[in-house]
Amino acid sequence: MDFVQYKCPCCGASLEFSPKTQKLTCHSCGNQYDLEVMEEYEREERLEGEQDLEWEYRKEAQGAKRTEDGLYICPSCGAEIEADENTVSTVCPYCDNVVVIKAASSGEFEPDLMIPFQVKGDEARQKLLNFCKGKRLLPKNFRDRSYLKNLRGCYVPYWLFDCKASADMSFNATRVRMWSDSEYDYVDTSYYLVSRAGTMEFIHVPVDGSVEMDDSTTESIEPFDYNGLTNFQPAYLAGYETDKYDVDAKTAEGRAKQRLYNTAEQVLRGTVQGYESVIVKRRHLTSQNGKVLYALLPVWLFETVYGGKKYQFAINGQTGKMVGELPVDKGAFWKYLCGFTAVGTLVCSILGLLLFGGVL
Amino acid sequence: MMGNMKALDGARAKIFYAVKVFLCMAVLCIAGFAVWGQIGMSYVSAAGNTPNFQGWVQDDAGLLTSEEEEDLERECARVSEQYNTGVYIITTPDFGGGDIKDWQSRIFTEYGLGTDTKGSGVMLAISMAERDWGLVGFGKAQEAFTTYGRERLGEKILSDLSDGEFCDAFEKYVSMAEDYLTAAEKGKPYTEDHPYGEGWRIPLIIGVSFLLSFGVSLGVVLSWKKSMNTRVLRDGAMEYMRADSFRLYNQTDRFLYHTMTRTKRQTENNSSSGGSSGMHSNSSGTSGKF
Repeated sequence: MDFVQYKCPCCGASLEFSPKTQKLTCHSCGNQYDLEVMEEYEREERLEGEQDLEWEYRKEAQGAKRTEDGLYICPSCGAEIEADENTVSTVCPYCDNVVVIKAASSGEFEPDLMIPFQVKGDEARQKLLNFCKGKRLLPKNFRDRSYLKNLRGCYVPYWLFDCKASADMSFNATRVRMWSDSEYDYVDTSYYLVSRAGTMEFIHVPVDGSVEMDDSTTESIEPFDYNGLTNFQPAYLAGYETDKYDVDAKTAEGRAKQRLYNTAEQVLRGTVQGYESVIVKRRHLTSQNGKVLYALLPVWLFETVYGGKKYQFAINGQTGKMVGELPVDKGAFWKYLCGFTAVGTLVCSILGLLLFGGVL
Repeated sequence: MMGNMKALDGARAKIFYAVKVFLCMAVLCIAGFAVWGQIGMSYVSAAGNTPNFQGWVQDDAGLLTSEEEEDLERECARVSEQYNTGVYIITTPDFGGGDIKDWQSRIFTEYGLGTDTKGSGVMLAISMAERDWGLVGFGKAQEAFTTYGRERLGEKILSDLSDGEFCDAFEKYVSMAEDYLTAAEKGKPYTEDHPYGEGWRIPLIIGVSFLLSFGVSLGVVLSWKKSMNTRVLRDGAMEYMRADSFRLYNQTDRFLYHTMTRTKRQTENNSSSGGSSGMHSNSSGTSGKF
């Protein structure tokens, strides 16, 4: 015979059924629970937490393969062009001709969709200049604008995740009531188990498919205007560098799942009102009609190495949104910190002595 | 002959009468003086104990040992002679009520204190009955013992008085009195604009200024540094959720249990301290309770 044992949600002690009150009673902390509530609480404890989502892949791509030794012949001048295994298009360093490497943009590596560049190089350079303006901590060698030549237009490989998600989450919530009499202050805290379930539809949640690109950079230049999505046409690649993905869709799934879970939690959490504190207890999400698309999205990129660290700067090639990290001159940082502190100390001391030092 | 005798008897009677009247008047005068003296004595006793003031320290309340009294006497004498201002200490079991400063003024006058110093003196008085203290400056000493100076001195000795450390309090008083007299001699008596014993203010002001400036400067420079990096990992994908696609199909809120805590309320202890300042003719003083 199986024993049924319920634990008190408050103190963890075993509960006993009280025939008098027809409730489960805790002899340790004195709380009483309706049978129905405890059934639901126990069911909640047994339910599954986070799990992987189901996706249907349009591409059978599970990882990039090296197909050549990295050498290509420029169709214009015949020079040998060095490119890595992920290069889809590049510019010939000898004749400036744009070279599209067809092998890397066809078959399993052929994108489903793409957004052509809308922001021109001059605009991108101007944005970068504006961003650098007034940055007192920028190293001196950045002020000569020579860094602008490092700005390059790139089609960055992205995985776009579509799905209809069904979210089922529970929260531990509290309501607090406080009052006082002449002798004591009272705090009455009520604990609730709050459950919410709902459906929502996601369209083209992007996750970049490039190892080279930092996730914080590619996510910061979002969102892209998906009205500009077109079917892939190699002609759009001319004049820009393009890398095929080297992070496969399976790997990118992890980041997509994180973002979907977080969003579903935000949405459901928004429906839990009237509590002083709400803490997530369980998150569960299932996807229906999940599919993954491979897309090339336009990004102006600027990279530099300063003090042994790589700095990446990006401009959304469609909307012009600009993000990035510029190097900080440590000397300038300390110079300003010490200078401001010295001047501030002098001024404050004089004022302090005049006001509180009995000098006047 | 009989007439001469009668005249002689009349003269004798007149003389006798005059002597009688004189004696009566003398008795009346003596009685009157005695009564007047008695009235005077009763006035003094009504106004409190009248000390037999000798030297600079008069410890009628018996708060000091004889060694302590001698040391203080010596120190008071030294300061008094050096600055030509009498520095007095007086303790009494009960000064009789009223304003202790008035009592001090009367003692100062009655015992001719400050006569060697052209009326310049300062007196600290302690009365144990109601735990009163008073500090009064007389004559020229008022320049050194300003209202600020008296209150500051009171602040400095109050804790010792409250703790029953009377000798320490008196030593502090004599030491501060010397400082006050030195400052007054230099033409810069201690006032609110020239505070006593607050040299710590300057390093404190500079220290606070440094910390404040460093905090603000660090905030500014860090905000500049932060503006160098605008990259941020996104938390969710809200902008990719189709508008109006959210449908909530389950919504339950189950009460589980409650806890109640009870905390005893803090009651504020009433505390009081006080002092008062007053001005008398050619004297000024400060008094309070300890």
